[in-house]
Order: sequence, then C-alpha cells, then structure tokens
Amino acid sequence: MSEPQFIRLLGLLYRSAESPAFWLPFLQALQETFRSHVANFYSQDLPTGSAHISASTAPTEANDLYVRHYSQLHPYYRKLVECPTMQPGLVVTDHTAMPTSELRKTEFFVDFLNRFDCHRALQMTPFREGNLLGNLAVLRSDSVGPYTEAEVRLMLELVPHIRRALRISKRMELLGALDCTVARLNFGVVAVDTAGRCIHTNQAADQLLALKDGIVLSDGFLSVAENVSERKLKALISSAVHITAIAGQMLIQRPSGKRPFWLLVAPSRDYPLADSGFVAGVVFLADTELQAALSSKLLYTLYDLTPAEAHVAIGIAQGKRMGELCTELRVSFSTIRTHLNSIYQKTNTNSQADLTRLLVTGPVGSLEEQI
Amino acid sequence: MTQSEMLELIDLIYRAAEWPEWWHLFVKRLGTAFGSHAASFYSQRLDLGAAIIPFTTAPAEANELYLSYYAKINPFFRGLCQRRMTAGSVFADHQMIPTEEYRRTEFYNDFASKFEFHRGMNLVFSAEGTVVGNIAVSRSDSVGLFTETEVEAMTALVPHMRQALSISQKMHRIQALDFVLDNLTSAVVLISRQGRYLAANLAACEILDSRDGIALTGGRLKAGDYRQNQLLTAAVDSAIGWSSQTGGRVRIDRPSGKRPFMVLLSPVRYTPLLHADGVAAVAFLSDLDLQAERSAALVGELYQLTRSETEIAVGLAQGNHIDDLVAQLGVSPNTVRSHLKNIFKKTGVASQSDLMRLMVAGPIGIVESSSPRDSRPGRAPPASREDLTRE
Repeated sequence: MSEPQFIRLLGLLYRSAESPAFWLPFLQALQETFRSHVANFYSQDLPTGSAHISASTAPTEANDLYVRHYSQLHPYYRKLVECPTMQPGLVVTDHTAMPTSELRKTEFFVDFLNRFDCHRALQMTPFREGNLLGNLAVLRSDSVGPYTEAEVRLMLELVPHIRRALRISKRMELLGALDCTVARLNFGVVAVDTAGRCIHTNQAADQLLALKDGIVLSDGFLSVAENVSERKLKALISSAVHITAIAGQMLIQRPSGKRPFWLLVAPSRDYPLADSGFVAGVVFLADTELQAALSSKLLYTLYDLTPAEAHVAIGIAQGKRMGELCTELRVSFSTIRTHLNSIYQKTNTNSQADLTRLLVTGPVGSLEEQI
Repeated sequence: MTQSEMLELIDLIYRAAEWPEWWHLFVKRLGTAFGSHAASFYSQRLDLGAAIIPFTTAPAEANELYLSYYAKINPFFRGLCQRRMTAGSVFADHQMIPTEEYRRTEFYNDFASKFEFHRGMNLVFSAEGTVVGNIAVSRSDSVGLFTETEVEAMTALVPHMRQALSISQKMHRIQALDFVLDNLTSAVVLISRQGRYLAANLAACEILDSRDGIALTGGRLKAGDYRQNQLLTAAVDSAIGWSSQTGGRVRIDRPSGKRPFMVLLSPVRYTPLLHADGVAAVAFLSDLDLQAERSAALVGELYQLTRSETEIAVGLAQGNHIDDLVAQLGVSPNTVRSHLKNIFKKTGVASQSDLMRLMVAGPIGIVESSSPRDSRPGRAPPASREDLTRE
C-alpha cells in the first residue's frame, strides 16, 4: 500500500478515536485496503466465549449469529483458552493460527464462516485486559485468496496506531461518563480557558445562567451587571486561571431581590497546553435560594416514614412553622409533635435544624427527577 | 519532504494527541523536514499582541524577545494579513506580504533577520475569537524561500493537526472534570457495564478505604449489611441497564454509628459503548456530616463570619443543639445566642432551619477554597484509587 493510502487510513482511524461514529468508515476503508468484504471490531471474553461487536461491516445476520451462538465455537479462541500467555499486538491469519484442513472441518467454518464467504481471515488483537480480548479482523472469500505476508506486515504496522486509537477512544468514553456525572450535580459548573472564556457548562449552570438574574453569559464570558462585582469576578477568574492559580469566592446580588448566587472559582490542576479551548479553571455557581426538591416517596423508602410524617418532614425542611403544618394537615399541635418525635427517631436526628440539614443535603437531589 | 518523513510527522502528531510531551519531538522533526533551523508551536492573542510558545526549537533569546516585544508588531498578525489567518490556512512569508515590503519592517530587520529567520511558513490550526493557534517554521535565505510544494506538504498536515488538537482538548477536559469531582465531598464511583468498579474520586476513595458500612470487594461495591447489600446490588444492576428501572437510592448504615451514607446509583448514557468494559453507571455516595461541616466553613468565609461565629455555624451543621454548643465551646448561652443573631444578620436568614438550607445550597462539595497550583498537599493514593487521569 502506498503512503498516502496509509495516511488516509490513519486520518480515519484517529477520527474514530474521537467520535465512535467514524469506526464504520474506517472499517470500510480497512476492508478495501485488504481486499476483503468484511471488517469487524469486537471483543471476546475467553472463558465464557461471549462476544461484544463494537463496529462491523458484516451483515447484521452474521453478527447476530456470532454473538448468540458461534462466538462460543470460535476455534481460535478455544485454542487460546489453553494458552493464557498470549500477548496483545499479535497478528494472525486463518492459516497461521491453525492448519486449514483442520479449520475447514469445524462446525464454525462449515455452518458459519463458509455461509458468509468468509473463508479467509486476518486478525489483530490490539489489547487484552485479563480474559477480555479486543480484536480487529478482516475477512474475505477463497476467490480472493489467502492473506499474504505483505498484508500481515501491513496489519502489523497498523498495530501501534490501533492500540493508541483505542486508548484514546476509551478516554473519550470516560469523558462522556464524567460529563454525565457533572451534569447530575445540583450546582453549576463552568469550565473556562486562560482568557476566561467558557468552554463547558453543566446543566445546572445552564439553568442558572438562563435566569439572567445578576449573572449572564455574554459572548462566551461570564458577566455581572453591576460594575464593582464585575471587576471582582474578572479578578477572581484571572487569578485562578493564571499562574498564581488562587481560588476565591464571592456573592452575586440578583436584581430580582432573591437571595444571591454563590460563586466560587478554582484553578485547574494542570497548566493548559494552549491559550484557547483548554480548561484553565472551573467556576462553581450555586443558587442560595435553592429549594430542596424533596419527594415523599424517597422518604418512605429511605427512612420508612408514613405519608403524614413525610409531609411534616418536608414542611420543616422547607422552613414551615409547626403552626402552619397544623393548619395544612388539620391536626392538633400535639399530633405534629408526635409525628416530629417519630421522625427524629426514624431519621436519627434531634432538632428541626438537624432534620432540615439531613433532608436538604443530598448528593444531587434537585436534578434527579428530571433525568 | 519525503513520504516517510510525512508519515513520521503524522505519527508524532497523533502521539502528541495522547501525550503532549511528543510535541517537543514533533517540532524538532518538522524543522528538519522543512530544512528550517527553527520550528514552533505557538498561539497568538490578536487583541493583546501577546503570545504563548509551549514548544519550539528556536533559541531562548528569540523566544523571549518575541514574547516581550515582537509579538506586538508581527506584521503577519496585523491589518489585512490578520484576516487571512483563518483556521486551516498555510502561508509562506512571500505569499502573505511582498518580500520587498516585509524586509523594510522593524520586525524583519531587528528580529527575524537577527536569528536568520529570513523565510517563514505558518500553519494556522485553530482560530477562535482573538486567539490563533499556529505551527511555524523559519529558515535562512541560504536555504531559500518556501516552495509551493512545501506549502502543499504543510497543508497536508492540517487535518491531522486539527484532529489531534481536538482530541488533546478533550483529554484536557477529562483532567478538568476529574479535578471538579476530586473537589466534591460527595463521593463518586464509576461502574462498568459488568457492574465492576472502574474509578473513583478522592472522596470515594476515603469512604471506601474506611470500610465503614461499604467497601470494594472483588472489584464491586459491597455493603456490610446483608439486606442493604441486596438493595445496593439491585440498584447497581438497574443503573447499568439490566432492568427497566434506572438506578435508585440506598441507605447504608455505618458500624461506627455515624450518620448513614446515602448512595445514589444512576445510569450514564452518552454515545453507544464501544468498549465492553466501558463506564455504564455512576454511584454518588454522600457523607452528610462531612458535607455540612465543610460547607459551613465555606459559608463562614463567604459571609465574613468571625471565628466564633463560624464555630457555631459548623457546630450546627454537625447536627448539634444550641445547648450542646454552649457546653462544647464553654461560653454562656447568651453569647451563643448573640453569635447566632449575628450569623442570621450577616447571611440574611431568619431561622436555624434556613441557615441549614443556606449551607447546603452552595456548591457543597468544594473542599479546597484556596491553594495554589502544583502546591496542593500531597495526597497518598488510597488503596482503592485508580486515578481518573491515568490509564
């Protein structure tokens, strides 16, 4: 294969490392390069024989059959079970893995490979974690012929790149998971670069900034309407994102008259590689007005409260007075007292303030119901 | 430049996408490939005329001069030229400014020519707002001007540079988010599709290592109490997608007698999972006592409470009664009451319950309120910790 072709393959490969949707175009380019009609990227668990197909150009029917049944019969993996020392990075062809005459007698070949014209195979195992093997395979028919030495060498040249691309794609999956996790927090998280420009906001930050109540996002920068606070905010962010890397916090008054927003800036741990697009600091934003969204269902399940007790507990946590609760529930003061004592016992608290604290402190309470 | 030199450069670009240290070797090889004695990876702020040069083979003196003065008068980032510096563009000096005109500039005479940077070629890999990211090579007149073919070769690097930078930015964001999570008092544990532990933030490591009601056993979260463990396992299974439910909350009692942990299991849904052992769920564990205590300290700082006032706030946040505080702090009930009044006044709340709500309303988890970069107290990785930023 010529260098430009190889370079094109690399371009597609690293694009898939970042966005999984590109694995298919990469596999198509790969099968073209290897004059094959199928290319697969899949993982296989050695002892159980169970397989997971990550991306494939094979017909759906073939993949279904493989996952449901034939993965258990794959003669190559059955051999490997007895050879636990196999190193990742290995490249094999059907005829180097086992004698062709032997392979062609197996049920796997006769009923499965043969049916999809996949007589010949060239496979690399870019990674191995315990008993889990990650594999990349191209397959073709006998009419094209066995895979040659040159093709094996080419596949070997791809090994370090495939391994790197898979490592990167794993990190990208982790990024997705971290984004998801940060999206669940009940306070705003805004990542900024060295210029102070926002490069990432979580769900709570979006909601809070959308209120346009004292703090907004303007041209990609956090901005406060009031002059003195604006200067203070800029100073806080700039000292956090520059080499001094000092954290700080402030209150942001709201024109609506509601309780102020609480803003905290922390420098990022690593110095950014470039000026733009790289996270240099993180701004945390919280609404001190936040009303705990409490669900009574949660109180039944977590603390075995009765519906009436849950009502009282939520009322207290929302700052209601006992008198108000008497009217709401149409019961006497002493009944509320009794409920409250029972709540204290069940939740292991000892005062209204303590109960409030328990109920409104949750990891990610307020956003939970929306997801 | 030969095809194999090209291949080597592209290989280095993708290595650098994963580990930025490789940019050092990349600029070196890039210089060699283009017969240039200087090659740099730098970004330029158009509005400030400032620059950052993270990787370069140019002499230190040249870099210092450029950063301190010549970045401001670099003619290629001014006027009409500036507008042509769009993402993906590659220009040789003479394609941008007629050589005769360029050689009359202060920038050329006092700076470029001094270091024999007579000829230059610049690749813009990113242009966002006023920040332009570049790769540049410079060489002397004795090697000659950059040819069309060389500009083409440099242009062929553009898509790879952009792809690598995009990956690199995301890698950096992982570290930033990891940092966010490490600063929470809520413990966060990432769980694989097989229900196994993958990674945890700092708070989670502390909780799991203390083995106070919940721990890692055989790579899985396990509660000490039999019934609670069943609920926990069911919540994990549902969060990773083995049932129609989507996670749930579980209470975990602690043998130490401290307030129980609240565990919230929730699925992680983004793109289809490529890896069989990818992240499928996240568990949030919270230690209510610790959270309230830390956030009370932050509230104290934020509202400029005095030390005694902060002590009272922290005490209340720990679940103490006013009477307990009187005994603990060894002061009179009146003193405590007057402190409390001041706290109410400073924070603008009307009752103890409101104060509790205020304290937990903030970014409850943020533990370190001020500590300079690279000088954070060293933290020994707990036995169960697998750093999120490392493989």
